[in-house]
Amino acid sequence: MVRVFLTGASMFKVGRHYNMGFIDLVNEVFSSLESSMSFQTDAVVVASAYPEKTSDQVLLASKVIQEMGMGDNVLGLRVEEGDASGLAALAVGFSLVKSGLAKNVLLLGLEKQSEFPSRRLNDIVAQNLDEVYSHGVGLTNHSVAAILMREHMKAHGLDYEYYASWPIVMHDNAKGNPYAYLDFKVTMDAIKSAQVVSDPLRLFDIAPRADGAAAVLLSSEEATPKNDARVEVVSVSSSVVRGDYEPRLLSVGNSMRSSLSQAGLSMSDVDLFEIHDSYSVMASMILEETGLTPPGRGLEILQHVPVNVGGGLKARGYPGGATGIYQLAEAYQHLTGTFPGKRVENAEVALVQGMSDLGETSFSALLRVM
Amino acid sequence: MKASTCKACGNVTFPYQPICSRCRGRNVEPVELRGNGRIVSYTVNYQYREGFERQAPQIVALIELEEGPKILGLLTDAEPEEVYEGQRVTAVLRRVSTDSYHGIIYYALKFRPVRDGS
Ligand SMILES: [Zn+2]
Repeated sequence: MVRVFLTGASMFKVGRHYNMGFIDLVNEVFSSLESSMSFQTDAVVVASAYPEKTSDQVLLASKVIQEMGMGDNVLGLRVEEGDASGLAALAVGFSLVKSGLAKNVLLLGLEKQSEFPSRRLNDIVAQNLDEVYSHGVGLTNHSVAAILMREHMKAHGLDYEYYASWPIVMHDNAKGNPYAYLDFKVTMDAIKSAQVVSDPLRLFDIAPRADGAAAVLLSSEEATPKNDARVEVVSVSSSVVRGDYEPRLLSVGNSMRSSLSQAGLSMSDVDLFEIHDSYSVMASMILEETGLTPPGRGLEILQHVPVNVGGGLKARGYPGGATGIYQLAEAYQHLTGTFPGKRVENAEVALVQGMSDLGETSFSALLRVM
Repeated sequence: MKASTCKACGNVTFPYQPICSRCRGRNVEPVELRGNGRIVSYTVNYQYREGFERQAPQIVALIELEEGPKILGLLTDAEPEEVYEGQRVTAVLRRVSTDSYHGIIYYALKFRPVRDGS
């Protein structure tokens, strides 16, 4: 069986990069990857959710291959599965290496989201909603998340302060992460008095969407340097479950358990979680799916296991379809002891979980130091 | 409001789809929902989408319909301070947005509170 390894990673600071187009962003991450290692790219898989709407652009992979001078025989394609595009791209790259079609696959996350006022961005990301009855009537993703938060509060008897613990920890984690968008401390008072977006959802309960670019290299065993600690992508799993407005994320539980069982591991073996905290309530519901916390108390896991040590979507920033590639890059750097911010010591097993904005579809990947 | 009723397990799936959302059975038949239900939860949204600014204040409710499914809907003819959980609502057709460039007006279902005597 062909084994697949993560052999390199590169990130560009998530933020408002008004003066940079897609190729400028790619150039930042590709040249820094090239300067740190030598490799021949066989395929490029671009993860990007909204380029048609945000930048009037398609054919991104071909443009990257041409402008980065990768050669004439490189396969290029783009994967779109909303904000889960990053880990969906991993599933494609993983398959290309497993099948023997490629020895080195560059996964490239790209998203531009900050050139718009919120009403325009809300309209763009509302494309994720059901066509007729949610998108068509003018709902926003934030309102759907607000309803889920209300249901979660009622189901578990929680008050607002429970959720506010998430941004406090995430902002604290992001300090020292040079790629983080919001690397400042926040207080409970600031969170509780922030602008109401769709009650009970306030500003700090929402991951801030911004521009970003990140790259990771997937390699076959023969293309992986033998000398270093090697990070294997042991499994990639996904699940789609129709949302029923119950405050739980079945797709997340399915995908995480599947990744672990393929690796012969259990939740308690995970040294580091990277999760898709598009909203604080999502973070809680994702972590409840680990079964490591009492029902409705997902955020309590923060006291026991490292989660989103680089700040997560909340503070590192939420670069749409590129998010999963940032998560993979961070997990890789933690496992190899090269992350330039707050580190997890001696981590060997990382579970990376990424999903669509509201969690109908979830992907998980199990990474392990071999 | 077209939904599907499953002849195997009785589950009602909204919107209509040819496969039951609970048992995945294909023995479903279309059913027209009456559009009556009760508010389970609601939120007042202050950050609108482009083109929907006229809906302010936008009240979004999770509604449990008489036939069983829970759906999200916009309330109309209601003020935020009057809305409460458990309130009865009924579906009505209303204008949702206007495409000023093409001159098209879009209509969709919204829900209005059922008050005593109405
Ligand atoms: Zn059924």
